[in-house]
Amino acid sequence: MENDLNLNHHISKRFNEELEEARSQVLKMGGLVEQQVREGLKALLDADTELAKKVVQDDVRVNAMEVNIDETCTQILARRQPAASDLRLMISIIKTITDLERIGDEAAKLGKNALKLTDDGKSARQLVELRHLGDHVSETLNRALTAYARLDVSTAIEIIENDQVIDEEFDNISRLLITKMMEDPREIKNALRISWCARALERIGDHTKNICEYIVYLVKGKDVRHTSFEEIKRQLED
Amino acid sequence: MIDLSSSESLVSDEIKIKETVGDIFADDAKMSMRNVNVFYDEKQAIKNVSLDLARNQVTALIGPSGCGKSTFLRCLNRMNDTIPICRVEGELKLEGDNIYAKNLDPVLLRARVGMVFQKPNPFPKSIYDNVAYGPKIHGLATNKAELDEIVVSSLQKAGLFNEVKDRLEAPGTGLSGGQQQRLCIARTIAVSPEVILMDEPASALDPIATAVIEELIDELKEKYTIAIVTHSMQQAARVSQTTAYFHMGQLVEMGKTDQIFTNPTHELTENYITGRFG
Amino acid sequence: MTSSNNTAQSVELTTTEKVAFSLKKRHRKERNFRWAGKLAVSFGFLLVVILLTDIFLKARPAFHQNWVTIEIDYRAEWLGVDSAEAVAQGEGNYRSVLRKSLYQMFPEVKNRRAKRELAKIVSTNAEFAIQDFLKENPENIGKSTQVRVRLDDDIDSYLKDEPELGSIGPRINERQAKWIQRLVEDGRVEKLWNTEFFSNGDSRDPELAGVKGALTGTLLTMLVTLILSFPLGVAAALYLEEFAPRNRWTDIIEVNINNLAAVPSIIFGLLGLAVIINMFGLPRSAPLVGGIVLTLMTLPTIIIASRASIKAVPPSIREAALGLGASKMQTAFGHVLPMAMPGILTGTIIGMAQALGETAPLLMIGMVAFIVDVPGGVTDAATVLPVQIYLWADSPERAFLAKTSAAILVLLSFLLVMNSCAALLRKKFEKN
Repeated sequence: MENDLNLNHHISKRFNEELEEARSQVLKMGGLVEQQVREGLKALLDADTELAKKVVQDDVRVNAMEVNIDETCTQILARRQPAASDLRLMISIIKTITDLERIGDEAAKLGKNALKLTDDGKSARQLVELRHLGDHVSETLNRALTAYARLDVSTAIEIIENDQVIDEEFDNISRLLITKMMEDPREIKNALRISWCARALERIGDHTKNICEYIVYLVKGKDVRHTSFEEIKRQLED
Repeated sequence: MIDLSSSESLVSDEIKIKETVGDIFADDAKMSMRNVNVFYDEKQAIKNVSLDLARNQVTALIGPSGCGKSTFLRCLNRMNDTIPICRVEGELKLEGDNIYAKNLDPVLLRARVGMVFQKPNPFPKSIYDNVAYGPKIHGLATNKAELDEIVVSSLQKAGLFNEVKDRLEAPGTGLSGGQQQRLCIARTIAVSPEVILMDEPASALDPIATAVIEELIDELKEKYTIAIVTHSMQQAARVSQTTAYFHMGQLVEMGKTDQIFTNPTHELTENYITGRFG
Repeated sequence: MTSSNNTAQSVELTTTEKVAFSLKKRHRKERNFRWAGKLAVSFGFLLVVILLTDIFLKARPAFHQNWVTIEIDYRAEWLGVDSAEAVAQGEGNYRSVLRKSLYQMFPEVKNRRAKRELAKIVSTNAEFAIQDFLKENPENIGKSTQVRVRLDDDIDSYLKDEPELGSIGPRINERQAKWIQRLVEDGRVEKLWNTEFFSNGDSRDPELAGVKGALTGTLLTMLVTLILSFPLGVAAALYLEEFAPRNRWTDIIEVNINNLAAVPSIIFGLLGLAVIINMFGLPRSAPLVGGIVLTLMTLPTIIIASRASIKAVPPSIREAALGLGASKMQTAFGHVLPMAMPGILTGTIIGMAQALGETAPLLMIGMVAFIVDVPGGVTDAATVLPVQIYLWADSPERAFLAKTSAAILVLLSFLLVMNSCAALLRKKFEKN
């Protein structure tokens, strides 16, 4: 595995522990968010009201964790004045948890829409494309978080590259829904709801991509945001 | 406590330094050093170091104790000449003049390349005499009025004038540590050097006095080329534009300070500035 | 830590208790040391006080002199001359005048032996005193007048012991005692402040002997020593510390300087005799030669002290000066030397004090001699205070005992003045 980042071995053992603590908190938050996404998706696709309610409620936990980690990072910044890789770790954590929190919000959105759909006696069960998109997104998120834990740049780059695929899938679903709405104007309301869900999944994909960019920044020290994929490849090669 | 006297114990020898990484060249070099080797008797203190000091910029030399950064700095105005067992090899140039040339008088060089030391070391004389000493011995002023002007403007440049204007005849040693160090800076700039070398100028000062000195260094770079050796990485990060990391007599990495402190290339640099032991 | 100690308290003492236990012992040791120190200091102080008091008490008589006023009859037949011109030219038999005047005062004295004893009542210098008196007052020729002359040292010492009048004393027989009694009862004897002690040179007669010769000799010798040894010593120290390369030669020089400081001082005297007097032909007994010899002796002390003092100047000052572009010379003389000056002065004063008390090397160059004249320059024959003290201490006359102590006091005062000057200079340098 390519990993030239060494987060341990500080002369101050306490500092090691603090950094480790911050990182494990992020991974824990990542796990929770990933679960939220999976359960939100399941509630939406299976029209599971209970699960949907749980997802909406659990968003509070995600928010609380974000505040917690923010606090930890502020403390480390104030006390340790980290530099180089430690500084990049701090920055990436602060950035990552923002995106994770957004992903949490999107997952809660899935839950809310699932509730609304079931209230109207509808479900998104028949939409294979949505299921496909959802699976794809949640799997990407899972891979991104693993890459984050392992500081795996190559996986991160792969995910950044694959974001286009998610965007294309979203476009497909949008087109499908528009066709549906044109065929049957009574379905517009539900179609819009499903569209929002698809939109939420697409946003989750974008946030996941952001997280992967932070991984690249953390490990390689290169800021690859808002750069074309070819450019990223070129930068990392030299 | 970890024994910091032997840096070897902290950093594993496995990481070998093949050559300097980063950019040692400056577009507009005031001083340029190539393949500098310094020996104390048989012991080699500096191994094949090449770097440029960019004009009107602050270059910070950092590294663990005993890495040779101070030794290197002291080569730049031949202060090492005072140590009989010290031998300097290589090409060291100030504006194209070889500073170790046989026909170059170190006295003249030191008038062009001033130095500020770690411990504030004002002469046991009055504040005025401290600043006036350099201009006097070099004959920079032809009369008392000119000398007065040099003293006042130097003190002003060093940001000390307002604090001492009423007591120029008071002994320089009676000032506070930070004021003493600024007096030493005033004394150095009174000779109007081209380059100012600073050997840990703020290491004996409290944070406020340090901040004042750092602010001063930032202002001084408009007129002078500055090289500063510092133990405080935060200080190097704050005041310098370029940073050079020394390790066991070698220049490991040199580059823009922005880059060195966020994304150093060499593992040794990374370990040093993040406080790791490799 | 505390918790683990609390549990083991029954078996083991806590750190605090251990420290408290050892603290008692440590405090006791400190107290004992303090007492020992105080004792040592007071013992030393006591010795100094005893010594000084002893010297003081012994020296006191030397600062006074008993004088006697006698009726001198300057008759022409005794004097042998009768004109003021002849007196002014120093002619005349004053001894006869003095003796006969004395016999006139004590007409009962008849036999030769008693007459000789009577003449010895006054100082041998009395005949010159009455001659001087007549020279200044020539109108007294042929007249009888009262003249004050010194009493002889034996009688002087006898009177200073404040005996019962008329009783015999050391070297005073019954007859003499009676005469003294009469003189005292007639109110002819006065005790006066002995200024001649400070204005006279040496003499065989204790009542005439003074320290001026030795004091001047000491002053001249010390001056020569200072002028030679201070610049030489400081220059040598400065060169060795600041300029000389560190190599075998400087090492050898350093060892030799240290050895030189330990050479017995009489060797320097031999050197002075062999080289300075015999080879260069400088005059014997001269302060110049004495000064040169003492310089040789003082130099190592000054060099060693100066080097230590120069070494103690913080290197940061040198760096500051060099960093500004001062030359080595400017750094050494402008910064290092002034800062080292207090220490150099201390070393100099130690060396000078040593030289001040030295007699052995002067022995070889002829400064241990009976020299009556006050030296007028560095090439005149002279002696120095410690030699004078030694000579006087060796003299049999009782009155020299007091003179010896008085000379010691003068020597100590000289040392005090010298040290004060150095202390003042030091203060001045330290202030900067």
